[in-house]
Amino acid sequence: MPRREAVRENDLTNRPCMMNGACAKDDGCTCIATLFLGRIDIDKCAWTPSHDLNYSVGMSKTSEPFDGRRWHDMGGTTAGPIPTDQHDFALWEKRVDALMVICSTKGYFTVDGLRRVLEDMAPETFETMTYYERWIASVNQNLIEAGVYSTAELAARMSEVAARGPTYGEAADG
Amino acid sequence: MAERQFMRVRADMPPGHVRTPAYLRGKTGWVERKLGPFPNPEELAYGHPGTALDLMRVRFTMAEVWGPKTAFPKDTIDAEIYTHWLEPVEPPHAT
Repeated sequence: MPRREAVRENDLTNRPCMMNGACAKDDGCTCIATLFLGRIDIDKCAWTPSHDLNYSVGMSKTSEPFDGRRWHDMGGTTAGPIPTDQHDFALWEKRVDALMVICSTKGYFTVDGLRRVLEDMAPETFETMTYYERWIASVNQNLIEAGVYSTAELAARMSEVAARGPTYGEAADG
Repeated sequence: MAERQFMRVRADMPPGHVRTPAYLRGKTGWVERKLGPFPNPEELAYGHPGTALDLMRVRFTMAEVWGPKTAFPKDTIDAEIYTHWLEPVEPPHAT
């Protein structure tokens, strides 16, 4: 699967737009396929890794580190300052959230499965992918595991969507 | 007042999806209330039907969790933990 390379840095203000400005006429990412192709308007996404729910648990320092603690199990570790600024969600992020609700309602998988795949990701994904980037990767993994679609079907659909062009405007004109 | 049922959280560290935070494993608290049976999320996470398990709200002192030098040792934290992670123990300071 052509997952985009992790390019995000902690300083979200000094990154070039991955779309080279082409996204300005778009609402941002439009579907799963474009997300995996790296066509995310990440400049419109104000979500930073430190906003993640995992950081909201346990701000104290633990005196006895546990052997075998998994990276996501952060309660009790030093968290650093907690950003409290508010932000809007990009359209694609709202769609990812809605997709999770639909998948759960249809019985494909539960939030427990969502969490499992998030936790099984490499530790660096917590810093290199945003919250909903990790969500959509997990939703996709769970849907494939549940047999909702195959990787071959996903690949074909991604190619089809990619051929439409990177924006709604180009797709409409095409 | 009913006697407190103390529970020790199992200190296991398995790989995979588990629902008991590491910082509470091996710690002892008491049952604040029984929340009732729920499908085990540790099974649901892998697409299996979840076995109905009792979920307990367990109360720990900060001293128990972070050690006696913690800033507010008598403050408490509640955590909701499934029974397969809990082992009944005698009260730590039985009279």
